[in-house]
Amino acid sequence: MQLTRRDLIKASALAAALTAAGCGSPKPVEPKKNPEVEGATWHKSVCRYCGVGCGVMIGTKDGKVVAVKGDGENPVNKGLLCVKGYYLNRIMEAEEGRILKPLVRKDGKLVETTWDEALDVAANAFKNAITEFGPGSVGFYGSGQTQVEESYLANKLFKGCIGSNHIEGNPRTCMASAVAGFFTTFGKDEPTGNLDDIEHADVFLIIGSNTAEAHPIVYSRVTTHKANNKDVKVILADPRRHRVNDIADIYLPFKPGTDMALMNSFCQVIIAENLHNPEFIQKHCNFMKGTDKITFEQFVEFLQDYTPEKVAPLTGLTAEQIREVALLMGAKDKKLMTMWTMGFNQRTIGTWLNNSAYNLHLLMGKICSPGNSPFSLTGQPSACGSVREAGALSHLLPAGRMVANEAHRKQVAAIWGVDPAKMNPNNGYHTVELFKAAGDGRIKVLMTMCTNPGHSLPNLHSVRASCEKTFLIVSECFHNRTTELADVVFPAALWCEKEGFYGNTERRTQHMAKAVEPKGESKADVWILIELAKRMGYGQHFSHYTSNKAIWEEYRKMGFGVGYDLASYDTYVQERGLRWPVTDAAPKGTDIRYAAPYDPYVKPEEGFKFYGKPDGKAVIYARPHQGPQEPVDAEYPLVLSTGRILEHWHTITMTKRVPEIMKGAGEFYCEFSPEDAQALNLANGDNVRLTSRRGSIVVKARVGGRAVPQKGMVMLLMHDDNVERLANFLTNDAVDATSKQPEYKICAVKAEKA
Amino acid sequence: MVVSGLVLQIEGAAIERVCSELAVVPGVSGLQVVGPTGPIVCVLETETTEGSTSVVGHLREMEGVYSVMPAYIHEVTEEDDSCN
Repeated sequence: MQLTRRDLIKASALAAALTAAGCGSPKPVEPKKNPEVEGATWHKSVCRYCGVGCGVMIGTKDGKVVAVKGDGENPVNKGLLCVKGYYLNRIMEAEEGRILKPLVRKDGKLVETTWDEALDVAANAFKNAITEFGPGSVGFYGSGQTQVEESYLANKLFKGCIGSNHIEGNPRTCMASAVAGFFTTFGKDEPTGNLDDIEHADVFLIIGSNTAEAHPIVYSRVTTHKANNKDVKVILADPRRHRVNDIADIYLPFKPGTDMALMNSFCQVIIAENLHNPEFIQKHCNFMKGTDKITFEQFVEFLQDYTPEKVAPLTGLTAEQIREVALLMGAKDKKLMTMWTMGFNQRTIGTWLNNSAYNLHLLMGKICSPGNSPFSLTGQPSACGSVREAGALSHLLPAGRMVANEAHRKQVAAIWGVDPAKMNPNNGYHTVELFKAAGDGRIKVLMTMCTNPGHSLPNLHSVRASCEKTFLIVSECFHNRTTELADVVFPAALWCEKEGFYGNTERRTQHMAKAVEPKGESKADVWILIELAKRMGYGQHFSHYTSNKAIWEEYRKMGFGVGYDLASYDTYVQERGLRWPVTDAAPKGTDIRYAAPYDPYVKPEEGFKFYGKPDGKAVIYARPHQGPQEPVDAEYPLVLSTGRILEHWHTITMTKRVPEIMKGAGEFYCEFSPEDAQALNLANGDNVRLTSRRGSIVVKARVGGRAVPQKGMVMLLMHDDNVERLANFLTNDAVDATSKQPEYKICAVKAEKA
Repeated sequence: MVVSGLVLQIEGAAIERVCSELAVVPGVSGLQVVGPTGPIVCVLETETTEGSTSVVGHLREMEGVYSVMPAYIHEVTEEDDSCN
């Protein structure tokens, strides 16, 4: 039998699909061939995009990426990929917009230069500012897309060496409320459970999350589980009817900004119907209102303002709908998994909303067991690993430590080998404040890495003006709306042009192999940071970092004994990731935290122990309903929300380089309800002017597309990078009082046919 | 030529109809249903990656299809199209 190479590849393609679908022994096709036979070398990695952390295998030949496939051995995605992951090889091929040489602004224009000059210019700008204005005059804005080692080194350079805590990252804009929710409820960040809870759950509450488009592999696992188990129920609660509704048994289209009342109402019904778990509550929970400890009875009293009958008019739902869902979730023989993301987080009550999800589960004791899981979905591939765990926000230090805690600073300084007395004991600026400070002269020099604040931050006219005023250093792979504002641009290596670690949404730390050499003169960000540190006079603190392994082995010391234990570099090179804590007692990681026998920090006789809190008890908070910071009014009568679609990633710095994606999903738009479209005389594809108190843009209207917002609400895609149409010219930079996360999800606008 | 392995998640009651519709989509072959409620797996061959995107988009819009997930992609150049 003569086989063409195409036949072999088809056989491999079908075998991979069958394996991903859970069928490992395809009969009608040729057995899967060893890719090595085809001349490709395969490298283990992780998808570059969202927080799910799908395993990918990268095929290289002659120094180029020739194929990408889902890693069938990776338990996260079991070989499946979404369309973005499918075209990962295309971003590696992209030449248009790729930054291949260092750039320095001269006479108003960015011009190519040498690495030596670019690094010297940047280092001197930092040194001069520090000398003249002090360490508080410089800052860093990183990313949940940097690798762990990169954030770790940036954190050390700024907090440990320079003495500036003005180091932030874009997870402030996507996950800060999740972090604050975890810390306030449990005393430690990141989920109790994991993605495997999907296959154990009976009921899913999906709220504030278009999982089908933002976390497609998670959605596929829910869909598969539901298809295989006829009793599994899915509840979608969202002001906008989107693709998750395809699998939903119940859809709750609550009015924007009323979800806190809805969550409280669920709790009210659960207690009133005696579906709560008094024993679990008594042993493992405290109740608080603000900073005051309250009793269970006082919490019940607080909930009396949230009976379904009282909440129904506010939310636009019926009392029967609310009660039906509460009873479904509360059924004692049903395991509940709640999933949410930016609909909760990007709100001025984001922390409270995260608390509310834990309230629901804690009240019923439906937590810390397989299938009983309140699960915060992370936006970026390593917001958890690189920023939250590495402590690269202005108030954090690695492994859950705080800059304001003297003992924590000393512990970190000891590992960094720096003088703890030089570390600043005060929180630095949060993201919105950092860019305001860059505009009003408090921050003289600001460096960004692997992020695009010139497109992505709210109230963007103000942010872009700030970027022009400060001395801006940008480390980036492709040109974007931030590089055009920069004074120095470092060409950064992209994804598999370097090795490193990512940490995903379920505490899974994964190693990514280097597969190809960096394009042009681009360099790994680790190299860039070390070179910068040397030129700023801190070389002695960085000279021992001779490899990623050396950095990792130092970094993981931060987590030993404090619940953030990580495995060795060599272990991760072999494994398809491990969920921390990884200890001698749990060498394969921890599936479920705070519960025996899963968590090595909990003794068998303790059962459950929320050890992030001094008394081992989680907190159920009485959190009142509070509307958005900018409600609609007669002048601005529509609620604007922003979000993304399956095919694109954030500010499209990468996905716009994939012609196939642009061809299929290259038009960006604002969704209108049929009622609002009719009132505004808008047809699909018409130009419409959207105006908020901060800006005005003209975009295409979409009526009756893949998702439909409710009457009175419009949903604008965040992707369009046309400088005339940036979505964030409209959005509000009001922040959550605790998490300091901006309220991207709700602001007031008016719309007119353009 | 671009060769992809796809996994389609579908509504249980729609499997038969979706399979019939898939069978006549140009470039789709190796159609298999995995389990009584799906998913369906298949191979997709297109001349270009633009073509594969277009077909995947079309499949995703078919009634009863919840999602279309690629599990494999490989570009085959004509000069390499033989191993014997």
